[in-house]
Amino acid sequence: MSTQDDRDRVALLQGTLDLLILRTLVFGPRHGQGIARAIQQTSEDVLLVEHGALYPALQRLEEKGWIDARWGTSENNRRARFYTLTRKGRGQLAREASRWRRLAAAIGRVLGPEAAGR
Amino acid sequence: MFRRRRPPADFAAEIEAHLQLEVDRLREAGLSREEAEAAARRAFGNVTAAQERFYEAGRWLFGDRLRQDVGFALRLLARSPILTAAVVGTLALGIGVTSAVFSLVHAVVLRPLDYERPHELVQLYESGLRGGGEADWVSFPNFQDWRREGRVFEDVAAYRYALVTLTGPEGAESMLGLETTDRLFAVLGVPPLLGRTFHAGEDRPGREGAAVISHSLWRRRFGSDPGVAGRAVNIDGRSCTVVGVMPASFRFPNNVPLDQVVSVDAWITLRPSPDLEERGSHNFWAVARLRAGTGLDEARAALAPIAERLARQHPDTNADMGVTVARLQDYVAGSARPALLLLLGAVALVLLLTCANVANLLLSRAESRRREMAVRQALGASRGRLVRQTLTESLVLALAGAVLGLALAHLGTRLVVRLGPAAIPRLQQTAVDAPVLLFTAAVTVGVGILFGLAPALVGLGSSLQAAFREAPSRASAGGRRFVRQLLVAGQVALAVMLLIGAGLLVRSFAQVAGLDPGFRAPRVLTALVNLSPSRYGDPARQVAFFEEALRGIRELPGVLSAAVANSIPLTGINDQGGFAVEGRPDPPPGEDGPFANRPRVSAGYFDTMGIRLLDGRLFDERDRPGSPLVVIVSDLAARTYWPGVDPIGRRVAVDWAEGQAVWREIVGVVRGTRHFGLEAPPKAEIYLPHAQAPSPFMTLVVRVEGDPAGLVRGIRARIAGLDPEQAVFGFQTMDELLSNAGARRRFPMALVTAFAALALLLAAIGVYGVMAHMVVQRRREIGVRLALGARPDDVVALVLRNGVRLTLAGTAAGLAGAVALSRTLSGLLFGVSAMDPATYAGVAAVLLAVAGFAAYLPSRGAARVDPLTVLREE
Repeated sequence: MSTQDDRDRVALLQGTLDLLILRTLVFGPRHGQGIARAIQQTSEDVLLVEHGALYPALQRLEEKGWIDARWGTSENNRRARFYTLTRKGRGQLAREASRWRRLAAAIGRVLGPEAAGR
Repeated sequence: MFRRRRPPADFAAEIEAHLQLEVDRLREAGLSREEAEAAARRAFGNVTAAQERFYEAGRWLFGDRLRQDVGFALRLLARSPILTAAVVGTLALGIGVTSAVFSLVHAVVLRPLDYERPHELVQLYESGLRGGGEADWVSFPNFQDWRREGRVFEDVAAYRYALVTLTGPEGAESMLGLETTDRLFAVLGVPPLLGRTFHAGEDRPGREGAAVISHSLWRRRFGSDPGVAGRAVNIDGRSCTVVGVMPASFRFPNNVPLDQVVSVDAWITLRPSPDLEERGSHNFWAVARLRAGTGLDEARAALAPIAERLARQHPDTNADMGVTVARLQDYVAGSARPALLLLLGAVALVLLLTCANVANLLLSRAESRRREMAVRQALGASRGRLVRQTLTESLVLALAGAVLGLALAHLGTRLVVRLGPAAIPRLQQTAVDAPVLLFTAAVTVGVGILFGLAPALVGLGSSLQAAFREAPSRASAGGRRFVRQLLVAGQVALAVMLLIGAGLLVRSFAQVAGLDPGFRAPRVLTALVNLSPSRYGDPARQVAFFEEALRGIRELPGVLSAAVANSIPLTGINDQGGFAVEGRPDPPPGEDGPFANRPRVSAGYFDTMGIRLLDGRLFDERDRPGSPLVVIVSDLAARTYWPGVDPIGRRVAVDWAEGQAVWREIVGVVRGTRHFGLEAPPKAEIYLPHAQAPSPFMTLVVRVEGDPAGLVRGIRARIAGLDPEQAVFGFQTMDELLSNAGARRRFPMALVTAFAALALLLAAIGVYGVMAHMVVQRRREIGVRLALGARPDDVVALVLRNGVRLTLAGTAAGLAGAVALSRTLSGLLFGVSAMDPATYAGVAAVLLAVAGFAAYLPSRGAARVDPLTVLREE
């Protein structure tokens, strides 16, 4: 609720979150909570994803046709909504990933070895 | 927030599942159920706030944001189609009439003239001209002095109308020509389509005449012959060379009454005439191009000493005479300008009223959306974001209104072009063009912000608690109600101002329409005949031609009577001049002598025109060239120059032969006519019999039994039967002339009245809306009152009191506003004061009645409130 906190937190760029979600789904269908966990683990807790923020992103990706969703049962027998990467989503991931790599490389060069190394 | 394919319940289920899974995981990690649940919720955060932040942070592109806002606005508007239709309809009306009126004002007043560097062009004329009243003329000698000494001019030209007859193998054709000095086209800077314009000095006496012809004459008479330049033609019996053809779009001049009948077809070099030497004959107009960078004041300052010197040198003609320098643009717009600017003002008021109405409509919706706004604000949406959202909505509405409004404006301008008076110069060029579109765009944005701001600010003021409390807090509701009431009172005030303006214009129009023009217009047909000087140079032949022609026309079936006159009312064709009254000493130099319009008419003119004989006799067969010279005077002339005396038998002179006054005896007195227009003060008239004062250029007047238009063909045939080379042209009925004379007044009056009616309607809707809303809001209070024993009448009175108070406040403000604006209106009124108490009182009464009724309707609803139902709702 506190807007002050919200502002201080480093906001994820939209494209970043999309990319992370798509990448997570490469390894197979997952539900929302699973995706949130996976992102947190793979980014070694650097990228803090508020779980609630994940769902609008999932919704949007679904509308764009990059991911599919269907209700299923989790490993511990809970009903959950599982997301799968579509063919279109795979293509998008490939494009986005290469774009991000180029961008990251460019930022690295701009910041110089010291800053980039951090 | 997720409002597309997926139902909200499904989304909620997913969130629930997420929290469950997270709790499961955390419990596996060893947390207690309570700890796990708390941690899961913490990790999830606030879904709505997170979304808002997500959208805020994630969108970099303005376009994205705009698309989102517009999409949201559209969905929202689609959800309440009736309200949306009401708002868009109101806006379309407001923006439509505003754009239409602006396109009118633009075409007539603002649009630059179609000449080269039009801002440098000025009209020059003598000011302080005596006798003739206000006029824009100059005498040729004065013009020559200005031309010679005026250092501020790059070029200057004089011109005057001339009815000319072109003869040749193609037959005879009379047309409106313009006699001009050599530099006219150089002043205007318009190149010819073919050939050339005049050479310098081509207007000097002794040179062969040259003519530049109009595109329409070129097509009509010369079959668009590309080799027409250099062709010799005969104009009024004088050989003349066609040197060039002007483009179809060229028009000059374009503001004089004669243009309504026929436009200029030939510009010819100045012809020898005695008045070129007469400093007292003010028969020309002058137009000039100022040197680049010369301002109007500079030009005036440069010309003033010239006029002063002329006044000293020629005191008998030039005493007290100055030079008026007016921008050609303003001169052309002329008297249409104040009326059009008034229209623009009136339509601005209508637009404001529209905005107030729309703001009120949206305010009532903003109130029902307060909860939504409060929630969104509480969840972290920034104020700016919400204001932008609301403004986007109003801009979307304004845009929709503008699109419809432009369609309306387009229709409106087409209607104006069709029905608008020809007396307004350049009116025909009215169109929804680029500047109008630009204007409409600006208005749309302005309007969108104007009516969107109130609801936006109201939506923001509420706290979450206040929004959710069952009854709105007294303070904030009171504040909003105040805003709405202020808006409605403002509407009432605007409506009052418009109604008073319309009322005053209508009363002026009624005054003018009620004037007796002095003649009977219905079923009188007029046409112009200009005898060729070469064949009818002899005055006796002129008389014989017209007598023969009239005999023939009288034989036509349906003709009751026919006559000719060289000057008939309302045409702008006049024969004004001084005259002498026998026995009355000449006025001292510098003072006005007797002055009158002096129509030369055939016997039968008075009967045909329906001009009443008051005393003595009319002209008849006795009044021949050899018989005693006679005149008939108007009652105004009789009163002015023979006060208290019977004028019959007295003598006047309108011309002089070899230095001797030619005395003519007064044989009759007739009713005066409003010759110079319905509103212009009538002048003295002295009628001469055509047989004793012949003229080659006459107007036929024919009184008919049935439809005047049916006789055009017959009259043409009779004239052609008499002389196949003689043209008759410019057919018009007296009714048309009368209607054109009133058009300048009728046109703005009709529009302002329509606007006022629209304003009254909008204000009534506004009062109704705010009262109905008040009744809904205060249902509970009304229910309690009724339960406690108030009678329905008391409730009606309660609501009415409120409405009347509002209306009274608005009316008072409107009356004050009207008084403040009365000065700007006074120039457009006739026979009624700008502070006319009857109009003010009448408008106030009408408004109170209408607004009272608008408040009464919801009050009946209030009286029907069932206390039990209302109290149970609590």
